[in-house]
Amino acid sequence: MSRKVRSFLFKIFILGCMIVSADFVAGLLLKKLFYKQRSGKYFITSHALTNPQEQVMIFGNSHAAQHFDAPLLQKELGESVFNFGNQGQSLFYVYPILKVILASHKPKLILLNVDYTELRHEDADYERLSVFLPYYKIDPVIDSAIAMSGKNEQIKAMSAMYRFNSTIGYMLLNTFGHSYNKSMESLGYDPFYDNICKTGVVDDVNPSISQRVNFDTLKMNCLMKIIRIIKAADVKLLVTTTPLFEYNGAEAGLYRKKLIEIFKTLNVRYLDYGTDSDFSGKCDLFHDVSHMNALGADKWTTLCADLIKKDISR
Amino acid sequence: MLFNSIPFIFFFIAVSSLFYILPHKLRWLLLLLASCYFYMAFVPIYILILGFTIVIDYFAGLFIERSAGHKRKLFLIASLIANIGVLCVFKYYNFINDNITAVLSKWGESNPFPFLSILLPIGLSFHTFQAMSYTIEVYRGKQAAERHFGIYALYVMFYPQLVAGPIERPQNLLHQFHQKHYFDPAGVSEGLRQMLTGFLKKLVVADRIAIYVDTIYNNAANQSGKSLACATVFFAFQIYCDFSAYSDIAIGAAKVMGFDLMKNFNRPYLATSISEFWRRWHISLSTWFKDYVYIPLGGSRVKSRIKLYRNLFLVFLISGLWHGANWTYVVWGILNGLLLIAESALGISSKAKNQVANIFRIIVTFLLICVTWVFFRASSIGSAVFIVKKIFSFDGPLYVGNPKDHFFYGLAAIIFLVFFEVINEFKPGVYKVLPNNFVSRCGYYMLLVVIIMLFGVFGGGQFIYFQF
Repeated sequence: MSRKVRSFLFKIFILGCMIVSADFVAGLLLKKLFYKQRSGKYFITSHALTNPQEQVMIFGNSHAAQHFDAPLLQKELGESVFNFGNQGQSLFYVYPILKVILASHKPKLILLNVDYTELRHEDADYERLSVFLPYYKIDPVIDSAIAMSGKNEQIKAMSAMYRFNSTIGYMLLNTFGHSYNKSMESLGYDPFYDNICKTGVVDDVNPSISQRVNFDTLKMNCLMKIIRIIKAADVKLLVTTTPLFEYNGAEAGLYRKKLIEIFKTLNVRYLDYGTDSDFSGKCDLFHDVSHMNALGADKWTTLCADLIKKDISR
Repeated sequence: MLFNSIPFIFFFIAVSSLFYILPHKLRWLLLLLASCYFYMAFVPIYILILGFTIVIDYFAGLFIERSAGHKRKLFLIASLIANIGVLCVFKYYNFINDNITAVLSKWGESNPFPFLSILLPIGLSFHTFQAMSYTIEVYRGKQAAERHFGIYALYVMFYPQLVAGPIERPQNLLHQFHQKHYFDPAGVSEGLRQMLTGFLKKLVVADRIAIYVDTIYNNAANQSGKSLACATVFFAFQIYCDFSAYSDIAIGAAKVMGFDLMKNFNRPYLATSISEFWRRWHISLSTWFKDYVYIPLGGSRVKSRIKLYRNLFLVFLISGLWHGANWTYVVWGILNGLLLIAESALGISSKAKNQVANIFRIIVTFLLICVTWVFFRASSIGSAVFIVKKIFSFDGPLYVGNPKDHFFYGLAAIIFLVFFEVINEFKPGVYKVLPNNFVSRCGYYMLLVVIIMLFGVFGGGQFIYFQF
């Protein structure tokens, strides 16, 4: 090997070492900043993964986050409550979180909110599992979720900086300018305040999303695993579907039927309020066609509290 | 295999290392095998199409050189028919058939021709054009026919520029495969630096902006004029960064092994006119059309203005079709042609003497190009017209997306990009005051890596121009 090749390789080696060191140091600094967040999706996830002590825990996607007024539910039930619902997240997000929580804590009740189309295959549900990247190596079940989020994600996650990819702005916002929504004060609740009467009903359908029925068998297995681990931990489980502004029976009907079938088979109590006439079509209770506003959330939470009081006291 | 993937990084390191380890006489074989593997990572069977055109053009080149007069022309025509035929079957057949169906259905007739359920081979237009430039140059006597079949195959298949250019000319590339390349640390460093810049453009700028652009354009009917205008400006930067990133990685990867590929972009959005834009944008294609279509048609040396306009119009019409088998691309090409004709008619194609006037021209040129991009990006002509109308109405609030991060990261990335483009264009000497030693260079590379790792969009998908 000639001198100039050796010299070049040595320089590349030095550069590589510098990059690895920078990655390590930046990773440490970002991790410190990361856990200082006081609101937002990462705050909720961090709270779930770092020894939560609440007795009533709510899980699901934005419908859980925005429809369960956790402070109100806490007042109504007289038990500590936390809403772990997170925007856009599916059952794939709920399972690892529950697994970690139930390893060290036994809540009295778990409320799992599901959409009618919860079992539909969506690529985005896998991609969104990248929310776990900052928690790489804290538990094997989290690492498995990271692996599901994309090809070679576990290799990429070896870079400490990559784990905090695209989070800096979000981190700074939720550390230095944190909001009430999705914070400790709101107990994870994420209220919306506008109503659909003002904005008008906007067809919220993304044409690129396939409307064909496409069951995700992995999600079905995941739902069954969630139910089984909750039952194995001897924790009460209540599954809900919160009210919708309008019900697209043609699309959601088949998924809904499957959900009911699973809950029946596994003997799970299911509060199916998606088509409840006290809510459906009432524009003052909705922020958009898919989400209730704070007024609707409070109405739903009060109704829900009445329905679950006896589960808690039993 | 995508450049922005982990397998490519391992592939690149392995091929580049082996290239210098192997003796010169075996290097062409290494590169050819590597290129086959690279191409087959997409859809393996399509290597046969590539093989077909390679065999035809290889022998066409030899026969053209050996023949004289009428025969020479016949071999060239045979080669062109083979290449354009492949393009027509795989790229344009269904498009033509679709239009025949539409016309016949108006007369109440059904189309007797079946549709082909085939995927467009990746980068077909690129390697076909590169192959055609070879036989044309041999015919013109500017390039000797390549005797070594493997080297000729490598000329068409050289993996860095196989699927999205730059579209090389035989005079620039073929002889480089015969030359012995010695390890040159400066060249390797330069290549790696250019690749890193490409990754930065693709992962941090293009793929980040794409998230916002896709959100808006995929639901254009429900978007405000301001959101569509913003998404269109973002798309202009997305496509520039996406495509120039590919070229940077391609040129850089080739340079690491000592090969020089032609420059493909030269800060196009700082052009003061549409004609200048086309001298700075996708240079390898623009010059291809100039050399093989525009000049043979008479170029700008024709006697009447009408013929000049016809030539410009035809070149951009074909350029539009080259990009894709869809009317949106045809209209995009026509719009560019019409803008050039207007510019030529008004005599405003040269730079103004006044700096303020030039800045004004840069902005106007950029905005006009943005309008043409609407047709390039939209899914149909109707959708594009709707978007343009909405943009000019400039109504409604600006939707910044949910979550908002992508919009603001994208905006910041564009601001940085424009800043550095302006510096490079108008004040390139600024960099001379910066220290240029090993430590400062390492610091610069580290900074790029940190930016990519923290702000890059990984798994953002393939390059836009792969589809052509």
